[in-house]
Amino acid sequence: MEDKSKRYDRQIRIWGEHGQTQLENTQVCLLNCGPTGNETLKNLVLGGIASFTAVDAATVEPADLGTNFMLDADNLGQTKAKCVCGHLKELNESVNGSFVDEKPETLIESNPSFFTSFTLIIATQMGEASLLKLDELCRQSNIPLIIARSYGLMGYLRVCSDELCVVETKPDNKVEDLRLGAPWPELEKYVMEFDMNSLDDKTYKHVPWAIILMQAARKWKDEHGGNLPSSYKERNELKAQIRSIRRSLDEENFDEALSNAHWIWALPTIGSEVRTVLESPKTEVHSSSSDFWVLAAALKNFYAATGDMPLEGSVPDMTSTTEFYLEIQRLYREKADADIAAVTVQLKETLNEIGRPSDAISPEDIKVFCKNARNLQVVWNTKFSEECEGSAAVGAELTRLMGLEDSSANAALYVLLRAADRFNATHGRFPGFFDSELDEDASRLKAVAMQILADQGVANVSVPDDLVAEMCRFGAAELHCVAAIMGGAAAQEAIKIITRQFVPLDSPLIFNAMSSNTTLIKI
Amino acid sequence: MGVSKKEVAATVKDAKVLAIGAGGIGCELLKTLAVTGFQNVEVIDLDTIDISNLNRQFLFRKKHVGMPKSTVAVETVKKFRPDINMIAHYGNVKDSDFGVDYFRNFDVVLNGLDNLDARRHVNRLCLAAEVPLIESGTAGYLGQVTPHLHTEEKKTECFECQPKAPPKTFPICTIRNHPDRPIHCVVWAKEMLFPRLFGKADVTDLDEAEAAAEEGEDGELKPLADDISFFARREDESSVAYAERVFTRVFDTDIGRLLTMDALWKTRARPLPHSLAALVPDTITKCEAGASTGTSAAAALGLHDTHKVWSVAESAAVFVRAIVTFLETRGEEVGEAVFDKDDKLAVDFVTAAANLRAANFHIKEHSWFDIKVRHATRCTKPAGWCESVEGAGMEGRRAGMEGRRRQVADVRRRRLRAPGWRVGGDTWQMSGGGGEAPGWREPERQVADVRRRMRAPGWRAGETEVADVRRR
Repeated sequence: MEDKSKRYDRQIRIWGEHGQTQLENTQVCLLNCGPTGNETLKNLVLGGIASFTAVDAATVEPADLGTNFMLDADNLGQTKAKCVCGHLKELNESVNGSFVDEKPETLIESNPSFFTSFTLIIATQMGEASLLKLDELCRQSNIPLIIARSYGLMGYLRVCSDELCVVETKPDNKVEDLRLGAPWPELEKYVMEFDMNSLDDKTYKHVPWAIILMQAARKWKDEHGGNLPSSYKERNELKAQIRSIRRSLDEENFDEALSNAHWIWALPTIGSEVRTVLESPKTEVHSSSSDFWVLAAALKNFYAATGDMPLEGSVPDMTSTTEFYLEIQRLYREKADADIAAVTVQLKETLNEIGRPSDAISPEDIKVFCKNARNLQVVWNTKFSEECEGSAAVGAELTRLMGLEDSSANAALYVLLRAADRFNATHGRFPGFFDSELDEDASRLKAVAMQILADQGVANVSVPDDLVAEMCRFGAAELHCVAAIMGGAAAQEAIKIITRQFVPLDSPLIFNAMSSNTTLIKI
Repeated sequence: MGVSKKEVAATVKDAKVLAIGAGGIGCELLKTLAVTGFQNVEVIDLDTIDISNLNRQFLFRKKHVGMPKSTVAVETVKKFRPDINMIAHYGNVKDSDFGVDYFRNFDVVLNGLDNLDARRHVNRLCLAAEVPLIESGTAGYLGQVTPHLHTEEKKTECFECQPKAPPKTFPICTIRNHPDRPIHCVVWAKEMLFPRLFGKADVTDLDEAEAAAEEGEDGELKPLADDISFFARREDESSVAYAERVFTRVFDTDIGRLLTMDALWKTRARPLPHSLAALVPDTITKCEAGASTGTSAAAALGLHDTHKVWSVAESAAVFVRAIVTFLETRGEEVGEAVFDKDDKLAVDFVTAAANLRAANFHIKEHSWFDIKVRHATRCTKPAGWCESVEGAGMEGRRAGMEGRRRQVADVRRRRLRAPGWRVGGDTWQMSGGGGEAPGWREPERQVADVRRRMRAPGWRAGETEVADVRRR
């Protein structure tokens, strides 16, 4: 036990113990044990999943030794899945592993129930036709599916899942929830009773900027009919007023106040993602609604009653005396706690209404939900079948991407990948497999690609010849470099889905190893 | 396309590659180099393997803990590439052995380092040797890979052309006399007290700077705890008696002395001394009770929950017990010990000391976990995937299959970024911000240097550097 927390220390710092627990309850199925699959699974095994099953019918051949570091000469002739399974188990003894000596396509056809025992499925190096069937299976059982593909110097990654509800999205830019322009009663009282003028110079320099700003805001509102500054000119006037009460120029707190003055008029808003959640019909909850939606329903009621989200409760650093700062911290913390309590009341009512026990959702979960109320996000991925069969949305997006310099090459590669799969379905091999037929394959491939574009209603664009030639040159090779990147990215998406932290992909992603960039196909 | 497959294959096979670092990025990199077909690789790393490495540095196994990273990495790689010519150097890239002439041997240098200082050093060597350098780094969910080309045909900016964020520093008088944030207490415990009890007893620059720092309001305050001899254990002094003596000095007597400096407390809350006798009536019992593990004082006292904040009495007991345990089970390290965040006993000591000091100065105390993770250490690499992308990304660039090389902007977050998809999600901040009582920000003053010591036996960072209270 002690060992485990030491071993996983560096990752627990990122996703916390609760995230780690989720990981340790995950059972993964990997389809195809080539470099892409191995790299993905390796990252998850290292992280401490509960178990995995590796599926691959191939035996180890000499060519494998050149791209797959989990295999060595001793493995020649053996079942690839078995060898990979053995190697992975060495990476982390607490992970259980097994293998199935079958083609993934066969399992999908003849034994679909095989897949239902997993919490996550990772399909690598598979063609469109079998993926469509697999996606359908996974949807029925509500199991997330990650599709990863390395093809020469490009890669494709996609998350297939029903809605993914994320509370801890952990946005890059934290928006402070300070409400300086609209303090609640207790905060307002404290600020109004705070007599700056009576302070000596030393203490004056250590009045927290939040107080300076709130007093300035109050004064402005009193002089302007209760309104906050609403124009550039007015905002500058307010800042000038703040400057005018400085006593000296080396007051860091005033510098901070001036650079943070925007928190007065930039009152926290409800972003579009959160609005989508609150307005979703799923907030009309019933007994089988997930906890997320039940909490969302409670939040919605809270919002309706109070006009805002629960206070987040944390306060940024401020030049201050310890005493002043602790007082401000206390005020914000108490208000946050009060809001959580109010949401909890709403929640219990809701739980009651849908026939669930009122303590069904833990106080810790309620707290995390409230603290992240402005960060909630639900990720919807378009159905894989819609992507493949084509739709107006797909056509429009492809048209858009192919018309932009930054993304046209990657959009073309996206189309070419799908064309390559269709080529394979027709000819029983990938384009460029035989050196002698490179040129012919190139024209065939281009024709298929143009057909796909036509089917999607994308007119007046062409797939560049040099990319078509490149695609043939690749010969559908699985290069280790590219596989390592795709494996890393795929594992990362898996971890986001498992730990329910950070926002997973909501669109297919194309990786271009030639130009070292990526493009999202936003369908 | 300009370069034939055969030519690419030959270039790769003949190339001489230097990889610096066999850690998170290094393992991924060495594996990818080997599998891509590189034949001549040298790797330098000064570190040994720790259990906490095993969640991502996959060339290592549990049985390898304690062994040098470079040698084990090479051994493992040779299992799947027996014919590769890969050489391990268990040493510091800053050693004179690895000078300009050494660097000139290589066609490319790949960095898998974890500190700015070494990166700068390598950058300069690559500039001097005119060898391309591919820089890289990860922090939480962010990563970057940047090529720096130094040949006649292709020159890009070097690693140091873009200024790097300077490390966060604190004024010394704050640490010594009037801390007001938890981080001040941790720095005090880790950089001042720990070395005085267990490390090299030489005067650190934290002491030297005090003469300059102690002007102005601090008046004629004499440097506290400055007599190194105080911390030397006396003849026939039991370890318990020693621990008690130290406790009383730093948490009681010294606080008392500070209280006499009225100027300091005009606008600050007056600190409160601790009485050991009141907090821990029977120190001897505390030091003998419970299972003696030798590795953790907290555990021996039944404090197993690393997230729970200890009471002042608990901190006092841990403080005393940690000292006693150290003296009695690791006596040979006294005078040489270096703080290591993975050394449980050391973290016990620092947590206890920091919390006791925090309590002296009415600062919020923190749990063992928080102090270790957020304050006493720097967050290093996360689970594997960032490294695999890094390693592979560098590979792709090196192999240059198309013969196309582009200068790619070195922007931490933009590497491999598409709208909505980042190398990583949030920024895992290494700052100690948020939630702490903020400080009296003293005007910019001379800040002391702290000699940093690395883990390799007998090796230490040669120069003193601008005060870096980076959590190490």
